[in-house]
Amino acid sequence: MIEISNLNFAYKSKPNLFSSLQLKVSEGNIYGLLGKNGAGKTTLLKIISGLLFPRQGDCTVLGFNSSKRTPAMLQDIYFIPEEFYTPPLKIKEYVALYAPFYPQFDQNALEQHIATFTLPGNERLTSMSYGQKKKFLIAFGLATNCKLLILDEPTNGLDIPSKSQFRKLLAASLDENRTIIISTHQVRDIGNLIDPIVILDEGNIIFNQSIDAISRKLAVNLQKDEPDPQAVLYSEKTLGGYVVIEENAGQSESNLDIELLFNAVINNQNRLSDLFAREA
Amino acid sequence: MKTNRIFNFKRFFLLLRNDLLRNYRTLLIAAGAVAAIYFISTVPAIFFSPGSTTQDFHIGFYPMLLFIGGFLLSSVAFSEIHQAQKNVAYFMLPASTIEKYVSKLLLTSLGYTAASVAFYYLLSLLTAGIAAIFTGWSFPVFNPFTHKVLTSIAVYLVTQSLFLFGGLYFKKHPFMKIFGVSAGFGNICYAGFKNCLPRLFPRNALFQQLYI
Repeated sequence: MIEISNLNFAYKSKPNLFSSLQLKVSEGNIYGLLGKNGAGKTTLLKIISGLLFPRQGDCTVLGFNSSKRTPAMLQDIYFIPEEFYTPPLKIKEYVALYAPFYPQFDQNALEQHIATFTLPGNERLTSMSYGQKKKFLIAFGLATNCKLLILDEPTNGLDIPSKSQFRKLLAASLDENRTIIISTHQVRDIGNLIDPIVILDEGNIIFNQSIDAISRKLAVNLQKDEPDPQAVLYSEKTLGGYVVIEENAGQSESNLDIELLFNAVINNQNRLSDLFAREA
Repeated sequence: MKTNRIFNFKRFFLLLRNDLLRNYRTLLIAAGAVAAIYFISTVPAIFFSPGSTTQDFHIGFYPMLLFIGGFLLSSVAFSEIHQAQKNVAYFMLPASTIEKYVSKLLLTSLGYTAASVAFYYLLSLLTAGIAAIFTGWSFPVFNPFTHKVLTSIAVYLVTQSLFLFGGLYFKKHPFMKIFGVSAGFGNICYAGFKNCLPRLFPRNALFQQLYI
């Protein structure tokens, strides 16, 4: 679905953000794109969408060069940025104007999603709250049936029930032809949804593994005493002891906290890379 | 097939419709303001000096509407590409760059010209009706087919693309900047020609016609 090879990118008058970046994204998954502030997550999403152009290298999306931004590619991509614009239109007007651009648009699905999110039907988008606008765009994006849905911080501004509805909708909308990429800092909001997990740091993809591989390779345990840093991959002090990530020797699967995994990858990148490379 | 990727009539008409419907409120407000200025300029004359307005009034007023309104509209036609959130929506809309450009070009050139002619004609017709009812005076209805009006339209259609293109380049205050650049460029050309022309083409019998 997406193939990025040897991609270099830099903003004007700034050093390279991406150097020889490689990434393959396949159909039928919800990718979680994680990274610290300024790691390049939004930039990467914009390159994939064709909103930014690489200096060198290729970014192919659905078989199209993303920089060309052909209509055939755009009608199969829906991108919801963190900060977005909604025109001063009512939902019906918006749908009448924009839905015809998406050949696979499903009006019934949109109505269902709007009902799920309990959005007001007769209000202008501009008079809705930030969260309501975002829910509408998510509902619209899902209803377009685009093959690639890109969401940048989708749960920002959503209330607690909406986050749960969002997870259900996304899980229900995934099929083998569709890919969803979610870039977020709110990993707890989408913890059970994303698979694989891609971690970007200082312009490099330092981790790209499926949940299955992570569960097989890593184990999370609680222990009272401070662990030996050499014996574990990562540890954090918690109430009543330490939570540690270590190599999964017993082949038993444990529930992994993504936030913990993220910290482990950022702080102990080399050892984790070695561990996953061994299997590869 | 390749042409369809670049230009598709269905998508193009959807874009035209989008551009019109998304901006119709702004256009209505602008039309209201123009109508107000027009009535302030004509209605007192109907009551206080009947018979004083001729077709010349329209030949003076309409080009102002055409040029000022059209240049303003053209210079802001692409304003959304300079705004951080709007530009994502604009660029991600599934249509080709050429479709998006031609849509704006058509609306701000032929579309605006046709709409302004029709709108101004209706205004003059309304004024003529008011004049006939209240004073019995035959107020001249705007005739868009006079040589001067047609010439204005031709000049507008040629020059407006400068404002449309300038609107793509200048992020802020495009109208003033394009106007300034055009005026500066025009003055430089004028000064250049004024100084160079007599040297290149002496004022003699052969080149006399250049100086008329």
